[in-house]
Amino acid sequence: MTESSEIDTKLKHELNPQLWVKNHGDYLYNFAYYRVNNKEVSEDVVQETFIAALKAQKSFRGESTELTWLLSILKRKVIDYFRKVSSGKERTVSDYTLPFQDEGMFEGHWLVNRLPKDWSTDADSSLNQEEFQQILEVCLSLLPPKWRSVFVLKFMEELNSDEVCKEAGCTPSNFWVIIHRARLKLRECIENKWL
Amino acid sequence: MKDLKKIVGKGITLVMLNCDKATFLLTKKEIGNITFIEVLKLKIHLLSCKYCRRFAQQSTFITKQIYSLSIIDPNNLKLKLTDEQKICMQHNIDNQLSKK
Repeated sequence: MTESSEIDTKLKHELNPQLWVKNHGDYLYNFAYYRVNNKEVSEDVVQETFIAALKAQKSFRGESTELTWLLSILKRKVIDYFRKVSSGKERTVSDYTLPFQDEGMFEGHWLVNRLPKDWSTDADSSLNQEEFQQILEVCLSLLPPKWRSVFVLKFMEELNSDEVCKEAGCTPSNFWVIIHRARLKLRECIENKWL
Repeated sequence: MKDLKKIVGKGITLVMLNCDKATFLLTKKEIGNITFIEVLKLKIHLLSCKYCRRFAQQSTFITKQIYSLSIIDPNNLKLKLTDEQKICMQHNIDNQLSKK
């Protein structure tokens, strides 16, 4: 025990890199997976986090727990991943067509064969919670990479729209169009798989 | 008579939203800001459109579910790294540590 920690009455957290994999590996892996939706990528992200953390050990002040500190590095790695997939060649144009009529008197109204169905009763039942989340996971993974990046950064990491656009490379008006379309697609995907 | 129809039609489109715009505003309202006029237009539309009301309810529900998907319960981890993966990670950490 060093002198400084004896003087300091407040308990300071310490780093134990030797035990990171054992103590935090699975947790960080799950955390990454529910964001990037890919096991291989999640494994890489966790590995990169550990290496980056080792190099940044000096910046750890012991004010937060070891896990909180590792998580903050992991989050940054996840965002870097989204930045990469959003800007890369993988930027696929979605073939999703809007569920609205595109001409005539009822332009902009729901297409008759794609009207939202009633599923509130099923959604409220806690029995189906797990099943619902599994479907949600699948449907999130079916969004084009850029849409998913915007979605995860907005709804999981709760960044504001400026921050989301900075990372996912969208313009402010583009942001709303992406979110709008992604929500329509996601809702429809869940409905088709669930009901 | 024709003119009157046109004027009424124009008036209606000024006040009434279509479902595309209504769902767009619902999203904007949930995670951003919309103007007072937009709030009114949205209210009027939702009164008469049960499908957009459904969309509103379901979308809010989905947003909550996405958020809860992002919260990881340490006592109930759904995925586990395999032993090989862990050994490999540990190996890389040990390597890095021995460099110093």
